[in-house]
Amino acid sequence: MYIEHLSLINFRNYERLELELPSHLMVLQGDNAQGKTNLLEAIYLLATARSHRTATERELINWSAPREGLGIARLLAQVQKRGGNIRVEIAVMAAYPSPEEVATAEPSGATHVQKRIRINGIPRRASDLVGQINVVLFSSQDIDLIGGAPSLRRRYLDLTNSQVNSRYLRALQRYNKVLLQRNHLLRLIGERRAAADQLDFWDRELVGNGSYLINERQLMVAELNEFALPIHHQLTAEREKLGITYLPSVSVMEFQDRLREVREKEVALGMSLVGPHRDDLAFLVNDVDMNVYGSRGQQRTIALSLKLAEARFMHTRVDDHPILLLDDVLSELDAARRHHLLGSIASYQQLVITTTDLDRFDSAFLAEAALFQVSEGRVRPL
Amino acid sequence: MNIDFVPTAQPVSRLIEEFHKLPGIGPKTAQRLTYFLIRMPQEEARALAEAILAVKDKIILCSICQNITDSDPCIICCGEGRDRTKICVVEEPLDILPLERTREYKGLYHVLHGVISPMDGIGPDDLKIKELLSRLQGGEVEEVILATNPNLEGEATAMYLQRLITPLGIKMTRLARGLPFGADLEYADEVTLIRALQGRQEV
Repeated sequence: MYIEHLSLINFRNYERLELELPSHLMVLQGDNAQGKTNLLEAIYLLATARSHRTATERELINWSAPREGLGIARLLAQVQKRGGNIRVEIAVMAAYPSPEEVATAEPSGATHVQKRIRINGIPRRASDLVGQINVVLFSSQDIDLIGGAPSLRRRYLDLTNSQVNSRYLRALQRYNKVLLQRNHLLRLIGERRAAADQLDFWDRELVGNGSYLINERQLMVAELNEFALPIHHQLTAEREKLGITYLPSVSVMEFQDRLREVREKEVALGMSLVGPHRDDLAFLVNDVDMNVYGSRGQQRTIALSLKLAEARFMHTRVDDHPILLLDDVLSELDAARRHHLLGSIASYQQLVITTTDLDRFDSAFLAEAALFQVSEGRVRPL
Repeated sequence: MNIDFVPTAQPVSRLIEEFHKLPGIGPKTAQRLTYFLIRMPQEEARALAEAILAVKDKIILCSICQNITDSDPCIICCGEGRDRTKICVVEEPLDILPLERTREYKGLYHVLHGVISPMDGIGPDDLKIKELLSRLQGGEVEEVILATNPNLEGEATAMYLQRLITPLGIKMTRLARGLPFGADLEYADEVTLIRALQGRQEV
C-alpha cells in the first residue's frame, strides 16, 4: 500500500500542506525544527489514531494560524492499497467541556481534545481506523524498547498486533475495561463493601480476553523472532545470535488457578496481579539479556533488527506492503549498517525517510529517490 | 463563549442555568429554550411548569415491578391479559418502552434501576434485586428474561442474577444478540457477526 496524497491543515507547524507522495522512495531533507518529523507523525496518526510523540494531543493543533478553523487540525490521506483505495480523514479539535467539567475544572487549563475520524467519508471509531493503513516507524526512540521499562514493550506488542488484527484491539479494549472494574471491585472487597463472589464474572472476563491476548502475543513474538534472527545475524557480521522471547505473566493454562492463588493478596493490595498487563518481552544476544547487559550500540542494532522484522511480519500478516517511516535514524548508524538497512528496505512499496544531511546516502540510492526539502512548514521538490 | 458575562436579567440567566443542567443541553440550546419560553403565552408556560412539578409530585415507583408510575401497582402489573408467568428484567424504566412497542411481549417487567459497576461504586445491593427475588417466591413465575444491555456491566449484572435465580428452578433466558433486522451482512462488524454465528438457529 502507499499514500498518494496527503493534506494537512493547522497541523503542528503546517498551516496548509497539499502533497503528492511518490510510491517507493521519498527522502525529506531539512534542518532541525522545520517539520520533517511532524510529517511522519501525521502519517503515523492517520494509521494508528494516535501520535507516537505526545500524549497531550492539544499540541497537534496549530494555534497560531490566523484564519478560520482555528483550534482544529485536519489530516487527510488518499491511500492506494490492495483490495481498493481508501480516504482517511482525522479532525483533531479542542473539545467543548461539559458543565460538570467546567464546575470542576482545574486551573491548569488541561483542554480536552476530540478526534473525529472518517473513512471514505463515513464517521468511524478509532478502533475501525487502526489497521486501514499499516505503518512501521523507525525512530531514535526505538532503543527504549530494548533498554526501557516493560510498559513500553507491552505498548509495542499491542500497537503492532492491533495493526494487523482488529479482533486483538477489541479484546484489548475490553480487557482494559475489565481490569479497571475488577481493580475497583478488589478495593471494595478489601473495604468489606462488596462480597468476594462478585469477582466470578470479572475473573471469567479477565481470563477469557486475557487468554486471547496472550495467545496472539505468543504467535506474534514467535514470528518476529524468526524474522529477526537472520536480519540481526547479518547486521552484526554474524557475531550475534538474537533471540526475542515472550515473557507472559501467566500461561493460558494456569491463568484461572493463579487467580485463585493470588486472590487474597489482590484484595489486600486492591489490584490485579496476574494477566497480560504484567507481560514483558526479553531480547537475548548469545543468551545474555540485553535489557540489562546490552551496550547502547548493541541495543540500537537490536532495535533496528526488531523494526525490520516487524515490517516483514506485517507484510506477511496483511498480505500488503506496510509503509515504512524512517525518522532520522541513519545518522546513528555506521556506514555498514546504513548500507544494510537501505538495502533491505528498498523493496518496500513506500518509504518516507527524513534526514538533515543527504551525504548519508550513497548516490545510487539517491538516484532512485524523490527528494524533497522541508523548511518552515513547507515541502518542496528538490 | 461564557454565558455568565452576558448582561441579562437575573430570572433569564437563572433559567438558562437550569436548562444547562439537563442532559444533552449545551449553553446555546439553553439560551434558545429560555428565549422561546419568554415569548410563550402565559398559560402555556404555566402548563409546562405544572407538568414538571406533577412529574415530581405524582410519579412513584411501582411496588411490584419498580417501574415509574402514578398509580400503585402500575398499569402493566394490574393489566388484564398479561402473562404473569414471565418477567422481563431491564436496567431502566426507559427500556420498557421499546419492548412494549413490539406488542409481542405480554409478560411482566422488573426494573433494576441500574447495573453492577464497581467503578461507580454500584453493587447488587444498590439495585432492585431483593424485590425481584421476592416476586419469584410465589411459584407463579416460570421464566425470567434477562434484557440488560449486552455490554460489560449489563453482562455482569445478568450473570449475577443468573446465579441467584438458577437454584430456584426457574427457566432463565437472555435476549438474543446478532444482526439487526434489515441490515446488510457486509456492514456488520466482526463482533456482531461472531455473536450472530454463535447464536444461529436451525431453520
